Amino acid sequence: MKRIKILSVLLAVMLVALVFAGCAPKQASKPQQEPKEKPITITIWHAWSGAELDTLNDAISKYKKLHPNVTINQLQVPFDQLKNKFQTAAASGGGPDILVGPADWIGDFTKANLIAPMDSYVDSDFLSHYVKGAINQVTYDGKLMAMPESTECVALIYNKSLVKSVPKTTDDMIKLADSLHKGDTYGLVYNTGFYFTAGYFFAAGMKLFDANHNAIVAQGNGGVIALEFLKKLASDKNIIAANDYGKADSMFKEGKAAMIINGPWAVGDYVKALGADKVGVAPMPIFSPTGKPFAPFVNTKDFMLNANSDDAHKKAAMDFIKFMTSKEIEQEFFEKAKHIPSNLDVNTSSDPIVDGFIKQMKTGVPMPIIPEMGAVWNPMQNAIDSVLAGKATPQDAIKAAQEAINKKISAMRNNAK
Amino acid sequence: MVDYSDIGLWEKIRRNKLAYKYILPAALVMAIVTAYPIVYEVWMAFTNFSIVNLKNPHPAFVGLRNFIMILKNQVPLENFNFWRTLGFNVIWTVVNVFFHVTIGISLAMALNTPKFALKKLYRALLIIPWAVPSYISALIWRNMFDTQFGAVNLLLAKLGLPHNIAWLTNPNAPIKFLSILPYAFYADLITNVWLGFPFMMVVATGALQSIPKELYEAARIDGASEAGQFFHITLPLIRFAMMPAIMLGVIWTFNQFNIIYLVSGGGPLGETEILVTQAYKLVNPGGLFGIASAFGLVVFLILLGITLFTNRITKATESAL
Repeated sequence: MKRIKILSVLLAVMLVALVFAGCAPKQASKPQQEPKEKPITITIWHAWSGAELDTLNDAISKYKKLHPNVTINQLQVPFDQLKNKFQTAAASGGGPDILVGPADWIGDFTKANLIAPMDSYVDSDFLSHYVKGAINQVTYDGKLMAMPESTECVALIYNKSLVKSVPKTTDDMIKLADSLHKGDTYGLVYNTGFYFTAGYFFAAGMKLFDANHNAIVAQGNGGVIALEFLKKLASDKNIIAANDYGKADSMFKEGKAAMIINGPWAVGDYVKALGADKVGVAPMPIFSPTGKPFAPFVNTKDFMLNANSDDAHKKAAMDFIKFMTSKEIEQEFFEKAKHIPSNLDVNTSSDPIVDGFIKQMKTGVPMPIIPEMGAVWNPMQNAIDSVLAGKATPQDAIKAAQEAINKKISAMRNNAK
Repeated sequence: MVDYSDIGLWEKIRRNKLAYKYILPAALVMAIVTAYPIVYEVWMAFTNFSIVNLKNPHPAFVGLRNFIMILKNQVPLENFNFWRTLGFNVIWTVVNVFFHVTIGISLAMALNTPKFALKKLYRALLIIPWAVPSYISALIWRNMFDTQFGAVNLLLAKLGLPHNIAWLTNPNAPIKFLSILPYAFYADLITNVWLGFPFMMVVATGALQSIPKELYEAARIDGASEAGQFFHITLPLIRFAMMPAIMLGVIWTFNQFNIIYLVSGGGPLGETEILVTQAYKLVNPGGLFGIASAFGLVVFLILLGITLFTNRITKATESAL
């Protein structure tokens, strides 16, 4: 009882302290260079890790030197939790000032009023320094809803000491993988997440949406062909094909996988683990069943502004976003974390790794940012998982996915009314 | 003791003013952190509360729609099947508690043998699974069940048994007539049995030590066999200590979120989902707060039923009072 009483007194004191903390920092200031600048704290949520996180921390300390009044708090959230965490926090009136996320979240967030447009903070002169396609992708309903940091897509990453020549077609890739499997070392670890495999679905002829944003994944036989291909990969004992990012990632880092499919965000860590001369990047092999190139989602990673932040925080956050997308910081992210910059002024010449991704992007498709995209991920993943597990035929799986997507989209549209 | 049964509530409060003043801070805290969320959840269960109306919390009242959607498996979430999940949850609980109790009592009996060398060392070693935080054990076991690099498959290979088993991703059942139980069930089961038997062992050890030795001596003189001694002396006498422990075990295992979520993740294809992991997935990634609240109420009612039922057959809580 006594303890609880002490606790409640403590809680009360803390509450009162919190109330006063809000109105505290009116410094009886001696005139500084810029007397207007009040201390301000900006929070940023992201899913960066490894080399990316180090570079972010460097950038934050650089920014702190230039703007001593601004404190930047960064919080790393695992990528598979980030969207939900932000959505829940922002929808209930809180959340960080800045969110770093892929462009396909923009439609969802804009419709739910979770992120604020940035048009009033930037002018056309500023935007002319950025890749036009990237700016187009983050523009929703004519408004700039995010600021692109980098462009990304997945490609074939290989260990040069194991792979002598890059396979040209998927048949070659399977043959090569079979010949490279020795003991613990596998020729290919293939992540079967839909984001990673989408390139072959599109190469097989599948389309996601029609002109009215209705899903058409079961139209034609593209989905079936792609699922059959994935099934073939998974049944090959020399290939690990599983929806397990962590396992694939650590196998490649340990040199136990000759080839992996992954994006630029991971390469910084691979270079660190294996050495820069051992890591190669090339476009994924051509899809043998149709002879079409791998067409991955091309997406930007963006800074978004929380709609709940007040004007002072928005302004300060925007200033930090501009700093993060400046030539200097994007150059750092390019060199240390192998991000493909959105800023045209960054010097990207002579980097074979980045060249590999840029080559892959040429055959890619832009990631749709319409809210309907949110309804696609889980049903498609379920289709892949159930086919690989032998629980459904490719035909049934793609039909089930189509139905599940329709159901989600109609639930979404009804809710909006 | 004064008999208060014939006076009114206000009179009772008036006579014990000081006591109510003492519990006021605690009661306030409890009201805010416990009672309010529960009432709020009950309200949510009857609305279409979801991620879209979090900001302006005016979700519409939908009556029993959420409950009907759950019972008819119409929830817009992959692999949602309430009845299969419930059935699986019951099997999961029964099988686990069975192994916890039998292994726990057997080990306790073995360690209770008089003049057994290094008894304390064994006892300490056997309690280790209980001392390690369960999510750490769960993650270690998850890695041990890896198809290519896991210790379990490597051991099977060394023994010349079938290996390369995709423990966590193969949705088929290794035992054909138990088709509801995929490989991942056995992985979860092994992990949770390993985690759960020490508790039963500790309880059984305490109970065994309170049995007077004279009873066994008398039984031996009467010519009772070892088995007879176990069934007529040991089991009836530890029953009263074991029953509350078993009840606790049932409730814990029924809600064993850590193991299911971290070892098999409810997969493959939702086949090892139990009710609490399913409720979690309704919120994350589902974002269906209203349906998740209704689901929570359903789980609560099921647990209430189980508790009342076990209470009746064991009268365990009666002896505890």
